[in-house]
Amino acid sequence: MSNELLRVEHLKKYFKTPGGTLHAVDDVSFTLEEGKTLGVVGESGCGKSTLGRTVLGLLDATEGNIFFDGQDVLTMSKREKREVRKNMQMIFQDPYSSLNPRHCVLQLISDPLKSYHVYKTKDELMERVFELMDIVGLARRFAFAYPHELDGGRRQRIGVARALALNPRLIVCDEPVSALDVSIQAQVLNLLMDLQEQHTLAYIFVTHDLSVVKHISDAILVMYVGCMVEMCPSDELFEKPYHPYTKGLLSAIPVPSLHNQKQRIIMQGELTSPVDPKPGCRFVNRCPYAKERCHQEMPEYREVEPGHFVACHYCEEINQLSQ
Amino acid sequence: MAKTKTKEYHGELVEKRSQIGEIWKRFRRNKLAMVGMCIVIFMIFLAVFANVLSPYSPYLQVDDPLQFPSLKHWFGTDNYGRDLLSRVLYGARVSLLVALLALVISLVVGGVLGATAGYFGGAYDTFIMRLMDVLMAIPSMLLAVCVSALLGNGTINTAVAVAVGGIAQNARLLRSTVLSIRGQEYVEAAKSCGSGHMRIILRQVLPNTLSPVLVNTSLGLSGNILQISGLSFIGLGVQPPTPEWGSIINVGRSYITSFYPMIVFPGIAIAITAFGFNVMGDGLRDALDPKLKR
Amino acid sequence: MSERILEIRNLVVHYETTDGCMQAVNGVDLDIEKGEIVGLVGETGAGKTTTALSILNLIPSPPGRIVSGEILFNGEDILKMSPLDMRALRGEQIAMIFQDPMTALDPVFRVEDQIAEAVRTHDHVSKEQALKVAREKLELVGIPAERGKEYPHQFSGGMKQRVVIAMALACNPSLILADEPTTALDVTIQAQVLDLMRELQKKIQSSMLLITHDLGVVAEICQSAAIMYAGEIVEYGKVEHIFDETAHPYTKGLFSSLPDLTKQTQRLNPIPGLMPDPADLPTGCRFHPRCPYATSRCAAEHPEITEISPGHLVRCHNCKEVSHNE
Repeated sequence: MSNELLRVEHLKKYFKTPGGTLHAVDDVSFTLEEGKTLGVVGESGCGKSTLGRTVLGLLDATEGNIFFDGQDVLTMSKREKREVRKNMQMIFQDPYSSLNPRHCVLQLISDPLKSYHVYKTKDELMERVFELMDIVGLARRFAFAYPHELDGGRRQRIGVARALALNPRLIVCDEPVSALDVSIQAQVLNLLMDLQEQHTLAYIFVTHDLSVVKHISDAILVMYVGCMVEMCPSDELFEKPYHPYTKGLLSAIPVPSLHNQKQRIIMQGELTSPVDPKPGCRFVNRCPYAKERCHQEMPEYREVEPGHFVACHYCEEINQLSQ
Repeated sequence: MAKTKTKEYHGELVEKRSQIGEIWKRFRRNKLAMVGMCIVIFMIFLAVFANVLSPYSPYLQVDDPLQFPSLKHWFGTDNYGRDLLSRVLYGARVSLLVALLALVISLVVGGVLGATAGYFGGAYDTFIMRLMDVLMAIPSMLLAVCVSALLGNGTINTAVAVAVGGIAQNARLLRSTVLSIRGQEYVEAAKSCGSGHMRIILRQVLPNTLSPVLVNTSLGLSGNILQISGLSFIGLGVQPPTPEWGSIINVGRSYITSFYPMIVFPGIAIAITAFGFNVMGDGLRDALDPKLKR
Repeated sequence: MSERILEIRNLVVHYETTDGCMQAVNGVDLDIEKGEIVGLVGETGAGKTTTALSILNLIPSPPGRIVSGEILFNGEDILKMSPLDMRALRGEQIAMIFQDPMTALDPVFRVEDQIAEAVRTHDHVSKEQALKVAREKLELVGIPAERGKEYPHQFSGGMKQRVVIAMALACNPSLILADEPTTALDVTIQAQVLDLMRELQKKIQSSMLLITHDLGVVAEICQSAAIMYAGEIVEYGKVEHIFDETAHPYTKGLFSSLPDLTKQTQRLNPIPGLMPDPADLPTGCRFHPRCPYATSRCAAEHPEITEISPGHLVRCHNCKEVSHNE
């Protein structure tokens, strides 16, 4: 597409553990356009957080390429990397542990500005911090408050302000609302969407909450034990999921309504271990449609419809079966 | 509620509470810790003003030896006829000073070793920590005795001897603290904001090690005082005629059946001081935790 | 069906702290009928867990204090029981399922031994019999009895939660208090556990108080629901009342805060503002500072809970206007 911001190709991140090699992210590719949101969903341990951190460079990729604005981030020199990373920031899940308890709001928000020496004078810095506090809707009187004095919603706003400080173009949001109460969650989601519009931000929105991801994303990537399972525009995923895992996941969401009781597919079993995975489809032991081939051969990631990618040998047949 | 200073800042009213004020507020609520602090301050006061407070010189014979407490000599006199009160007061000076010196040495050496091991990890970490394990395996008193025998007696050497035993402990403490801080999300957040190693160590890690270190300092001081007294008691460490609580007791040991003051008064001084530091350390630990609100 | 197993009457619980008196629960009335699952919904700090702990008389004291109220379990006031009777009641008649299955199990004992221990504290049976019961309970929650010989760390999160449920069922309690039993689990595992709970309820007919913040979970398995806000129940009724005839503005706010999977909405409509500080509750209706329908009466006068249709209770002065204003 025209204004592509981020392209990730065949990204792999393996960890060496005493029990073997942990395939946290295994061959993930996607592109993200400027000002758009890619939702990354999956259950705990599926590698979605690792993906976000590897894209940002908090973890070193084992294999693959990351292009930001057309430049390959992984082959850059340290200095160039630092400059590019200025454009990529992160919002963390836990608004408690992601804020240093010994720093006040002012110090927390000014941290990135100071480490890049953006402003020469203290007055300019203060001006910017107050401006950021206004942007995220944090009253200026909290400038000298410590995180433990504030509630979860306000703490998360500090995290947002810190991520915005350097005017980034991409923000990786790692479960930014899952630690918050529903009413506060909605406030923060609205804030994130407003900011996206005003500052043309691109988000990689990592979450396990499918209703949140549908609300905020343009496209959704479903992950299962390190692998991509399905990726498509978000409406399409909910209307016409192809992969049996996605179907199970969608039907598992409890819907807060009495009249929308859909046909439930209860997936048996739990996630397989990502340590030294066997060849073949990772989902095979929970898949109700698994055949011999699924045990032998890792399904290819292919485009079944324009813009709709699935990694399943038999997804077309399965779709016909259920219709 | 805490005193909240409202201050005008950039034309904006902001509430500013000092963190030290908050800590003090929490500390003050702990009665026992306050008692501990009073004892500590009192002991420091005695040590600093020993020359003013002492009625006699601690080195000169002023009266008959082995006198029981009287109005003239509140604590009595020792085997050379020196005033015991004066000796105990000066002893506070020596004991506290040597204990503090030992603490600083062990904190700096152990702290640097432990903190770097925790931050960088890997083979370096393994090497340092196995070395510390070896140190830990030797009883600290035995270690102090060995070092002291090796270096010879004397005030500074005593401090070093006691410090060696504390190095491993401090290294472990710093390492585990740094390790737990390194795993915190805010360090990762700082990394994602583009901070380098130096900046992270200075701004994120160090301020958060402060509270365990402070607590350990307070608790460690009492241990050091006991150990120094112990060393002096067995004849190593601080040598007579330098007044030191342990060495006074050591000398008094010969008269233990007939003359109690030489054992009891320095003994009480040691016990009270150790108690004071311990209680204050416990109070500090509670007061320094920013998350603990109650 | 109208037989009540638990009646909470005007329960008031305060926490005395140095920062003032936290009014955690302020006059809660709640009934649970035999064989019914009641959902207790609210946000952090609404007083849900405090209510549940009061039922077991487990409020940490100090700082907590049950100021007034009565909790009738099968007609007997729990708060007036002797500690000994209370202990006999806990686990045997009333059991609790905790949120975090990782910490609710003792890592050094075998799973079946832990359940057997729970059986033996209340029933005087031999060790073998207790183990037999333990294995039965494991089978009941869908864990093969052989796995009882394993230690908790050998189980995955969802399996551990099943073990916790099995342990709660050990003495066939007539009331189960479940504090966010599925919050720590993944969606697909949550679906499994909810499915299990639904089945168990059919099988063993015990009543349950399900504490949750997730209205979706309530829709899945509850028959009645109570919405809590700032230590009070603001709306109570059958799930049909709560979901289809929502009357309290706070409940409405909760629904509109949730992203809807079936509709494409551009913006959410969250409730403005924050939960009030339990040490400094607003006058009148606790919700009025955040309420879009608030009038001057709401600020001055605390609304009583009123029955607007049979079995549907709402604590709001203006609920008629609210329910019309769709």
